[in-house]
Amino acid sequence: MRNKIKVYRAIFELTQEELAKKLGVTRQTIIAIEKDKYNPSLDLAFKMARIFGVKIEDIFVYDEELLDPEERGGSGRGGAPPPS
Amino acid sequence: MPMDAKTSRICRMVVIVATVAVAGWSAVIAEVPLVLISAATGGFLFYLCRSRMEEVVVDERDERVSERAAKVAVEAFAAASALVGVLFIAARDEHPGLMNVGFALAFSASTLMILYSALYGYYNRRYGYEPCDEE
Repeated sequence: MRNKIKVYRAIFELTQEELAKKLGVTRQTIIAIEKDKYNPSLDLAFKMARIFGVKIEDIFVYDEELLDPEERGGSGRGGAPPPS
Repeated sequence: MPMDAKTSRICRMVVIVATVAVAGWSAVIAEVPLVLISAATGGFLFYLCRSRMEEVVVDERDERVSERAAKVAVEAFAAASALVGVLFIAARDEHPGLMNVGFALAFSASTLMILYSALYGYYNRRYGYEPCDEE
Protein backbone atom coordinates (compact mmCIF):
# COMPACT_ATOMS: atom_id res chain seq x y z
CA MET A 1 0.00 0.00 0.00
CA ARG A 2 1.34 3.40 -0.98
CA ASN A 3 0.08 6.57 0.61
CA LYS A 4 0.08 10.33 0.27
CA ILE A 5 0.07 11.26 3.95
CA LYS A 6 3.17 13.40 3.58
CA VAL A 7 1.48 15.39 0.82
CA TYR A 8 -1.70 15.91 2.83
CA ARG A 9 0.32 16.82 5.92
CA ALA A 10 2.08 19.47 3.89
CA ILE A 11 -1.22 20.80 2.52
CA PHE A 12 -2.73 21.02 6.01
CA GLU A 13 0.59 22.20 7.53
CA LEU A 14 0.62 19.43 10.11
CA THR A 15 3.73 17.94 11.67
CA GLN A 16 3.94 14.19 12.28
CA GLU A 17 3.54 14.89 16.00
CA GLU A 18 0.38 16.96 15.46
CA LEU A 19 -1.18 14.38 13.16
CA ALA A 20 -0.30 11.61 15.63
CA LYS A 21 -1.99 13.55 18.43
CA LYS A 22 -5.13 14.11 16.35
CA LEU A 23 -5.29 10.41 15.52
CA GLY A 24 -4.44 9.19 19.02
CA VAL A 25 -1.38 7.24 17.89
CA THR A 26 2.36 7.62 18.39
CA ARG A 27 4.58 9.61 16.04
CA GLN A 28 6.42 6.36 15.32
CA THR A 29 3.25 4.98 13.77
CA ILE A 30 2.89 7.98 11.45
CA ILE A 31 6.55 7.60 10.41
CA ALA A 32 6.03 3.87 9.74
CA ILE A 33 2.90 4.50 7.66
CA GLU A 34 4.57 7.26 5.63
CA LYS A 35 7.48 4.94 4.86
CA ASP A 36 5.06 2.17 3.75
CA LYS A 37 6.38 -0.05 6.54
CA TYR A 38 3.01 -0.40 8.26
CA ASN A 39 -0.53 -0.61 6.89
CA PRO A 40 -2.94 1.14 9.25
CA SER A 41 -6.22 -0.41 10.35
CA LEU A 42 -9.41 0.60 8.53
CA ASP A 43 -10.39 2.53 11.62
CA LEU A 44 -7.20 4.60 11.53
CA ALA A 45 -7.42 5.05 7.77
CA PHE A 46 -10.98 6.38 8.07
CA LYS A 47 -9.93 8.77 10.84
CA MET A 48 -7.10 10.04 8.64
CA ALA A 49 -9.43 10.52 5.67
CA ARG A 50 -11.85 12.42 7.89
CA ILE A 51 -9.11 14.72 9.19
CA PHE A 52 -7.98 15.54 5.65
CA GLY A 53 -11.55 15.72 4.36
CA VAL A 54 -10.97 13.22 1.56
CA LYS A 55 -11.80 9.59 0.72
CA ILE A 56 -9.57 6.77 1.92
CA GLU A 57 -8.57 5.93 -1.66
CA ASP A 58 -7.35 9.49 -2.12
CA ILE A 59 -4.76 8.86 0.60
CA PHE A 60 -4.02 5.16 0.20
CA VAL A 61 -3.22 3.45 -3.08
CA TYR A 62 -3.38 -0.33 -3.15
CA ASP A 63 -0.14 -1.83 -4.45
CA GLU A 64 0.36 -5.58 -4.08
CA GLU A 65 4.10 -5.31 -4.71
CA LEU A 66 4.54 -3.60 -1.35
CA LEU A 67 2.52 -6.12 0.65
CA ASP A 68 4.12 -8.29 3.28
CA PRO A 69 4.60 -11.81 1.77
CA GLU A 70 2.38 -13.22 4.55
CA GLU A 71 -0.39 -10.81 3.63
CA ARG A 72 -0.23 -11.66 -0.07
CA GLY A 73 -1.57 -15.13 0.61
CA GLY A 74 0.09 -18.49 0.28
CA SER A 75 -0.23 -18.88 -3.48
CA GLY A 76 3.55 -19.22 -3.83
CA ARG A 77 3.41 -17.07 -6.93
CA GLY A 78 4.35 -13.80 -5.29
CA GLY A 79 0.76 -12.73 -4.91
CA ALA A 80 -0.03 -12.70 -8.61
CA PRO A 81 -3.75 -12.33 -9.31
CA PRO A 82 -5.59 -15.51 -10.29
CA PRO A 83 -5.99 -16.07 -14.04
CA SER A 84 -9.33 -14.81 -15.29
CA MET B 1 -2.00 13.67 38.72
CA PRO B 2 -1.34 13.63 34.96
CA MET B 3 2.20 12.81 33.83
CA ASP B 4 4.17 13.25 30.66
CA ALA B 5 5.89 10.27 29.01
CA LYS B 6 9.27 10.91 30.65
CA THR B 7 7.88 11.26 34.19
CA SER B 8 5.77 8.16 33.68
CA ARG B 9 8.80 6.18 32.47
CA ILE B 10 10.84 7.26 35.52
CA CYS B 11 7.91 6.44 37.81
CA ARG B 12 7.56 2.94 36.30
CA MET B 13 11.29 2.29 36.56
CA VAL B 14 11.33 3.31 40.24
CA VAL B 15 8.32 1.09 40.93
CA ILE B 16 9.94 -1.89 39.15
CA VAL B 17 13.26 -1.48 40.97
CA ALA B 18 11.54 -1.06 44.37
CA THR B 19 9.20 -4.01 43.78
CA VAL B 20 12.01 -6.32 42.67
CA ALA B 21 14.13 -5.24 45.65
CA VAL B 22 11.37 -5.79 48.21
CA ALA B 23 10.11 -9.04 46.61
CA GLY B 24 13.69 -10.33 46.30
CA TRP B 25 14.48 -9.49 49.91
CA SER B 26 11.20 -11.13 51.00
CA ALA B 27 12.13 -14.26 49.05
CA VAL B 28 15.57 -14.33 50.70
CA ILE B 29 14.03 -14.19 54.20
CA ALA B 30 11.37 -16.74 53.08
CA GLU B 31 8.35 -14.50 53.70
CA VAL B 32 5.75 -15.67 51.17
CA PRO B 33 3.00 -13.16 52.17
CA LEU B 34 5.45 -10.27 51.84
CA VAL B 35 6.39 -11.42 48.31
CA LEU B 36 2.72 -11.48 47.32
CA ILE B 37 1.96 -8.12 48.95
CA SER B 38 4.97 -6.40 47.35
CA ALA B 39 4.15 -7.87 43.92
CA ALA B 40 0.52 -6.77 44.17
CA THR B 41 1.47 -3.29 45.40
CA GLY B 42 4.11 -2.96 42.68
CA GLY B 43 1.61 -4.03 40.01
CA PHE B 44 -0.94 -1.49 41.24
CA LEU B 45 1.61 1.36 41.37
CA PHE B 46 2.89 0.41 37.90
CA TYR B 47 -0.66 0.55 36.56
CA LEU B 48 -1.17 3.97 38.22
CA CYS B 49 2.03 5.37 36.65
CA ARG B 50 0.93 4.10 33.27
CA SER B 51 -2.70 5.19 33.44
CA ARG B 52 -1.83 8.75 34.51
CA MET B 53 0.17 9.35 31.36
CA GLU B 54 -1.30 11.95 29.01
CA GLU B 55 0.55 10.92 25.85
CA VAL B 56 -0.27 7.92 23.70
CA VAL B 57 2.43 5.30 24.09
CA VAL B 58 0.66 2.16 22.95
CA ASP B 59 -1.33 2.20 19.73
CA GLU B 60 -2.43 -0.31 17.09
CA ARG B 61 1.07 -0.60 15.62
CA ASP B 62 2.54 -1.44 19.03
CA GLU B 63 -0.16 -4.05 19.50
CA ARG B 64 0.62 -5.54 16.08
CA VAL B 65 4.32 -5.64 16.95
CA SER B 66 3.52 -7.28 20.31
CA GLU B 67 1.28 -9.86 18.64
CA ARG B 68 3.97 -10.90 16.20
CA ALA B 69 6.73 -10.91 18.82
CA ALA B 70 4.57 -12.94 21.21
CA LYS B 71 3.67 -15.48 18.51
CA VAL B 72 7.30 -16.00 17.48
CA ALA B 73 8.42 -16.16 21.15
CA VAL B 74 5.75 -18.78 21.98
CA GLU B 75 6.61 -20.89 18.93
CA ALA B 76 10.36 -20.67 19.56
CA PHE B 77 10.07 -21.44 23.27
CA ALA B 78 7.62 -24.31 22.77
CA ALA B 79 9.71 -25.94 20.04
CA ALA B 80 13.04 -25.46 21.84
CA SER B 81 11.83 -26.59 25.27
CA ALA B 82 9.98 -29.60 23.83
CA LEU B 83 13.07 -30.69 21.88
CA VAL B 84 15.52 -30.11 24.74
CA GLY B 85 13.08 -31.70 27.20
CA VAL B 86 12.76 -34.87 25.13
CA LEU B 87 16.55 -35.00 24.64
CA PHE B 88 17.12 -34.70 28.40
CA ILE B 89 14.58 -37.43 29.10
CA ALA B 90 16.20 -39.66 26.46
CA ALA B 91 19.61 -39.09 28.05
CA ARG B 92 18.44 -40.19 31.52
CA ASP B 93 20.72 -43.25 31.56
CA GLU B 94 23.91 -41.21 31.03
CA HIS B 95 22.73 -38.12 32.99
CA PRO B 96 20.04 -39.06 35.53
CA GLY B 97 20.02 -35.53 36.97
CA LEU B 98 18.68 -34.10 33.72
CA MET B 99 15.51 -36.19 33.69
CA ASN B 100 13.52 -33.90 36.00
CA VAL B 101 14.64 -30.86 34.06
CA GLY B 102 13.57 -32.63 30.86
CA PHE B 103 10.11 -33.38 32.23
CA ALA B 104 9.76 -29.80 33.49
CA LEU B 105 10.67 -28.44 30.05
CA ALA B 106 8.42 -30.87 28.19
CA PHE B 107 5.48 -30.15 30.50
CA SER B 108 5.98 -26.38 30.25
CA ALA B 109 6.03 -26.67 26.43
CA SER B 110 2.83 -28.73 26.51
CA THR B 111 1.13 -26.32 28.93
CA LEU B 112 2.12 -23.37 26.78
CA MET B 113 0.72 -24.99 23.63
CA ILE B 114 -2.53 -25.95 25.42
CA LEU B 115 -2.90 -22.40 26.72
CA TYR B 116 -2.13 -21.01 23.25
CA SER B 117 -4.71 -23.28 21.62
CA ALA B 118 -7.38 -22.38 24.19
CA LEU B 119 -6.75 -18.65 23.80
CA TYR B 120 -6.61 -19.00 20.01
CA GLY B 121 -10.06 -20.62 20.08
CA TYR B 122 -11.42 -17.92 22.37
CA TYR B 123 -10.12 -15.02 20.28
CA ASN B 124 -11.06 -16.76 17.03
CA ARG B 125 -14.69 -16.87 18.20
CA ARG B 126 -14.51 -13.37 19.61
CA TYR B 127 -13.38 -12.03 16.25
CA GLY B 128 -16.23 -13.60 14.34
CA TYR B 129 -15.34 -17.21 13.53
CA GLU B 130 -18.34 -19.26 12.50
CA PRO B 131 -18.20 -22.80 11.15
CA CYS B 132 -18.93 -22.90 7.41
CA ASP B 133 -22.10 -24.82 6.62
CA GLU B 134 -22.01 -26.42 3.18
CA GLU B 135 -25.35 -26.07 1.42
